Amino acid sequence: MASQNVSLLMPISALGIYLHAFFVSVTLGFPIMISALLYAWWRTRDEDYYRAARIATGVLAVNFALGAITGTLVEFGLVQAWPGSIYAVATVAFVPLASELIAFVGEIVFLVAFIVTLRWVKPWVSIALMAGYFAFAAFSGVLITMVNSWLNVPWGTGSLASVLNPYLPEYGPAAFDTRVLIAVKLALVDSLLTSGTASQILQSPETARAVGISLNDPFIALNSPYGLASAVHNLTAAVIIGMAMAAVAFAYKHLRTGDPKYVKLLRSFLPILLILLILQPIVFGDIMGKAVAAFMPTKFAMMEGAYITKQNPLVSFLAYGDPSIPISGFDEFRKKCEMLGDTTVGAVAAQVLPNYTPSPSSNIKLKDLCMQGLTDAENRLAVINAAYYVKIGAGVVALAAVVGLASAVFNVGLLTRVVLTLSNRLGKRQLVFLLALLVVVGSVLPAALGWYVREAGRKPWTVYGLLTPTELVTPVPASPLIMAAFTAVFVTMALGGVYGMYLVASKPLLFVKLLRRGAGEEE
Amino acid sequence: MNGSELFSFNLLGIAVLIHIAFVNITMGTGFISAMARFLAWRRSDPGLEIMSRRVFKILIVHELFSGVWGTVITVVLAAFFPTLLAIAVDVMFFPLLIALSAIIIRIPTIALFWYTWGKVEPRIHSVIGFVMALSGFAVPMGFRYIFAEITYPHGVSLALQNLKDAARLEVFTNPLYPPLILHTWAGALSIGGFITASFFTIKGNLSPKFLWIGLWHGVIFLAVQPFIGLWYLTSLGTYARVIYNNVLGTVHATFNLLPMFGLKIAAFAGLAVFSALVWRRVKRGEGSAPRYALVLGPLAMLIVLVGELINDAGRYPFLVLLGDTGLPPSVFSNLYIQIPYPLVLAILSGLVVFLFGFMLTVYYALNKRFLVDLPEV
Repeated sequence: MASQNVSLLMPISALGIYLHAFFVSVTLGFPIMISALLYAWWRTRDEDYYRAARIATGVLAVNFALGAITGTLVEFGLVQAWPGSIYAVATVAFVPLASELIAFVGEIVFLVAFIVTLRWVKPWVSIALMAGYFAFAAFSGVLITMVNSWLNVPWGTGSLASVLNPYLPEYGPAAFDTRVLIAVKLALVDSLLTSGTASQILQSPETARAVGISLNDPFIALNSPYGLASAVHNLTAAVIIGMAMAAVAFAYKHLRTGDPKYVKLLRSFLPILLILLILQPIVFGDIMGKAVAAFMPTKFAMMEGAYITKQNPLVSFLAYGDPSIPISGFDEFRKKCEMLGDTTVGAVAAQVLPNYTPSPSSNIKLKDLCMQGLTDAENRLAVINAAYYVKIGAGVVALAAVVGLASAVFNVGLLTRVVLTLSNRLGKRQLVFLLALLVVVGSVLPAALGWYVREAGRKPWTVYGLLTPTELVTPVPASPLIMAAFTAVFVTMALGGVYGMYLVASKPLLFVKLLRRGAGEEE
Repeated sequence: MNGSELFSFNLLGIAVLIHIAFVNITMGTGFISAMARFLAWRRSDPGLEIMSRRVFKILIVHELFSGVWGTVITVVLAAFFPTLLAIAVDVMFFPLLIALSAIIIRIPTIALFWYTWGKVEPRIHSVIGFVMALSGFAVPMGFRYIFAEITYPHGVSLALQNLKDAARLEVFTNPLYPPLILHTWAGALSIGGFITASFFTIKGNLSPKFLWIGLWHGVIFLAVQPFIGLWYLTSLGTYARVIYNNVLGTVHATFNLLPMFGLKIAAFAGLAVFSALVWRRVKRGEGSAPRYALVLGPLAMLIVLVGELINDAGRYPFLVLLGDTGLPPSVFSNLYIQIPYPLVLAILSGLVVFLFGFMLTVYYALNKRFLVDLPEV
């Protein structure tokens, strides 16, 4: 039953995360764009900037509501669909999730304060309020990314993952009690083997007492080098997408109306977008890639299409800082699995757990588990490899497009002359829109594919090298009909929300007259 | 209860109380706003549309903050009572799915209701309004099953006998649930009405006509509360003796809440008296709004908060009740880590600071500028 539930619930969880990520991008990207518009308004007193900031604030408000709701779904869905994760929430995710409450509340307070005071306080105060909102939104993003990163690289579990899967590295200090973790893993596997589902063991107070203190350093998730790399990389990607969406919206209005004010508005924040799109691959992406290569060997092999160990001096230089180091492939991982010999689960458990009694999992060979994990991972290799390189290609397109866009709307010498030559053929309005469109496509595609690589690349595990989805999924027989209805409601509301954002951004307020009449101000 | 158990018990209780305070405002004002918007369309009365928008602004500034406290409850449960949460998400899977679906509908429809105003046909806008309002009531429809089950484990008792499949459906027939949910809904509608009435008494928002509409909403739902409340109390007497004894302060009480219950009754009586006085002054929206109408909303809020406090603290020293006895919080506590209390206290302090910051912003929004500044101009 666990496998059926995983098949049913995994796509719904993924959909929820993707929708949340979409809204989070606007949540993080728009504040910078709005601040830039307000700054320009402050310096020039040009009302066009203010009006654009006001409309963008409306879009941000709708988007924030949608981001909050999809975030709630993801968080609640995490514990409801994957109740095994409650163990992680109660241990390693305790500090990040509890701290995230502050971030969430801070976001709301600053956003509401910004909205209700806009125009009634000095622009710099509004910018400061928006900066406060952005700071808390970013803090929230960092904390949630840290939790997700722990699932990718279970920092603080020491050598446990490498004992089960010898091709994996150690994950930091042993902040978790290894014996307790092994006991939890055994209980989950045994429950899965005997009753078909596993996560229900967490419902027993006796189990909780038997497990006892599992983690000695509740802050461990915040110390993960993989987590820090992920946080910077993900947040920058989100900001880029949000700003790119704004850029294409202004470019579209310019295309439709020919009004040069939209180019003026675009100019106010385009330099920031340009800088971020340059930094993302060169600095943050590089740090992220190195972290994946260091801590997630199967994911890195999947990204690089390494069915077998291979040489690629450029990738090796980027990943390891040494072009001569080969990229480990699945052949090498299998050899390391072979090193486990005929060691059984029971033999390892008996060495570690003083009161261990044989259980249904006792006779399972560690080597078989290790090999099975590799086979499951390798089955995804072709898709992950393709997704990764499409992502890289799309990122290059975005970088080229944003350079072109900046050259089209600013005077940057030779580049501008080249772009103007192109615009003579295509038309400048069309060219600006096309470049902005390429920026947004080249931002969204890498983010979507990058997230897919990140999440699917850690499979077949939910907690890399340690726990599988079947061990964490709900024991409730999930009805496809009910879950389809739930998904339909969710998708409908998300689409409705996006339509609302479009309305806010594009339609004039028709009810003003009616309201004035209602108030007795007009006949 | 030892110190840490008491801390977690109180933490959960405080989060629930703050959440309840905000959601009652949003549920009640959401309904009144939707109704006013509908009547504005049907009667071609733009005045009612003005009222709808103004009442809706009360909802807007409170909604996300109420949602935050819902998230706080989830995190507190997962962090401090992981075993209880693990049981809840299994046995109460379907009620929680109802609540989750309702939240999913609720928040986007709030945004849509606001931002499509005047941009879609009134008929469609009214439908959006009612979907928004009713989805608000569907949220506690799901979550109140948890409260019913921890007070009288009707389905959970089956789950403990390994009859999980039956238990997941049996939770829907918990006998405590019907009076509890009706008490909740009527309370929210009543609060919405009285908050609206108080709001239109404030200088700058003064409107006897709108005050009257809020007042009669509040009074109607206040009038049914004694009957539902009595039903709930007698149900507690049958199914949850611990709370019953504590509320009435009997010799078996483990935590005498009779003074609090007395306060609730006194506040109820006070609200009834003030309502009658205001009713006479602004009947049918004519006449002038007396200043003392300001107390209607706070009094209604006091009743709900004291009622919820009695309902939740009444289970002390237990977290889950089992007839005349119960299971203490320690049964469900987080035994997996040493809770970092300094951090928890720091987070709590931060939340309190933001709570005050938020209230200040709300005051500013509702009384100073927000009402006249948002898109009407």
